[in-house]
Amino acid sequence: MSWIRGKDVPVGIVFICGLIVTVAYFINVPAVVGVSEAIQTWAVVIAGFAIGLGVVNMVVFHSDSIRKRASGQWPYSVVFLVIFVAQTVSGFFDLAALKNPVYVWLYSNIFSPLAEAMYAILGFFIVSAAYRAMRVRNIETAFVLVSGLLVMLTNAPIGAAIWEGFPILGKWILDVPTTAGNRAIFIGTGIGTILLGLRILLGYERGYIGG
Amino acid sequence: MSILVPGRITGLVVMAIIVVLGIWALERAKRGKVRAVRELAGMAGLRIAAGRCAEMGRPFFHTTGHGGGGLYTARGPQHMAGIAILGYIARLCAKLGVKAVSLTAFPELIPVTEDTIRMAYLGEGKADQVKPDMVRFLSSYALAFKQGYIGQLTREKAGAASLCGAIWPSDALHMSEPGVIIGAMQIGGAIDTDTLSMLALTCDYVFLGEELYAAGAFASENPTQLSVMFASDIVKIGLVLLMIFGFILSSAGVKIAQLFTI
Repeated sequence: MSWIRGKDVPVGIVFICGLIVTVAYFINVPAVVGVSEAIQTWAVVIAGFAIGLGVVNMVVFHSDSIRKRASGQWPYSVVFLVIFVAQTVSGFFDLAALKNPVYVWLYSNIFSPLAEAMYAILGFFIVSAAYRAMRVRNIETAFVLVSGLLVMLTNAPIGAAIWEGFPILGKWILDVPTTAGNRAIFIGTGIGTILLGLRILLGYERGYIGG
Repeated sequence: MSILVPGRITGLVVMAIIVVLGIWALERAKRGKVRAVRELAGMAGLRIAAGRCAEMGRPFFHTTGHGGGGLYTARGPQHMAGIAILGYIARLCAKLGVKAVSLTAFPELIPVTEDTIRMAYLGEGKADQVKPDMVRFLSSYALAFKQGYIGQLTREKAGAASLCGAIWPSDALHMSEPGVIIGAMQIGGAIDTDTLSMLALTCDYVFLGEELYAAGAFASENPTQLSVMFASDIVKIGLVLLMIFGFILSSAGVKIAQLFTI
């Protein structure tokens, strides 16, 4: 079968599956729709198997980091592996309800506070990013500053208290120029998505099999 | 019962037109009729970023983001586009002796990114430089993924970072602001306009919307693939004409919008 090259098989599978799923979106033929749904279910199942791959990847990375005493990283790798094992093992007890006290304690006292801390950090990041955005360096950044101020004055109650026209101006900025720009990007993205799909189905774009 | 699903016929017609034009452009390019395409600024940005990493002796980080779904979801095309950009980054890094690191939120992306990096280094004759820690799975949970990304980016002091793919607006700022703090050059790319506004604040170069998908064609350095940009431009000109036509007819009282709901 020398006429079939190494990457022709996956490209052929992608072409057939992609064509069926695309056609099934537009037609009312139960047989085709059924096959399309089966293909999509397989995709979910195959991706589910990959979680094992993820666990191996994480354990190998952090074990190597500890073994090599990777600068700045290895203490975190120790913490990761300890909590990873504790959380996994405790999760096996009372598996259905996930009510094991160790599991719940780890989740409530380590996982949740760390997750919530991320949202808190976002507030500071927005301020520093907004400061950079609002610096007037040329005519474009001047537009950003003026538009940003008007929209802020629209959303903050003080804007309308200062002048009734601020909410009208801010709403116009959001409804007209912003919406027009957004729609232009949406249209371009839609066309780009279809053409990327075409390149993938025809085998020009092979990034998913290593190029 | 109609064979075609009601309400999706216009979409089918538009998609068919785009596909036919795309195939025509590809066939035209195969016959040697290739149109010159202006390179995206982001592609030059990737080359500058890789050079910067080589000068500083620092790694080049890449992620396709979390974005709420992996390869098999509606976010798949964005991850695919991000992986195509990773292939280009990995080739640049292999040429310059830079370590390319891909951080992923979805385990199904691990073999894909591993293959992409390995093939890129192999193509440049640097297979010996491929290391297991170049592809790292962090977490499928968005906040944990972002924490892992920020931690590793700052601890390893990446010289450059590419956030191209399925990036959420809050992820965009969470993940790119630490890059600004450590002085990394950053290239972003997304299709969501909310995300793009965040990336524009923190990144040196941004692939805007459709450019994210086009970047894959540029990354391939294959004139045939680039020819689909020509098809895209023709469709856009057609849509602009359609909008003008629709504006005139709607102003004249013709209910043209109903035609597009079939």
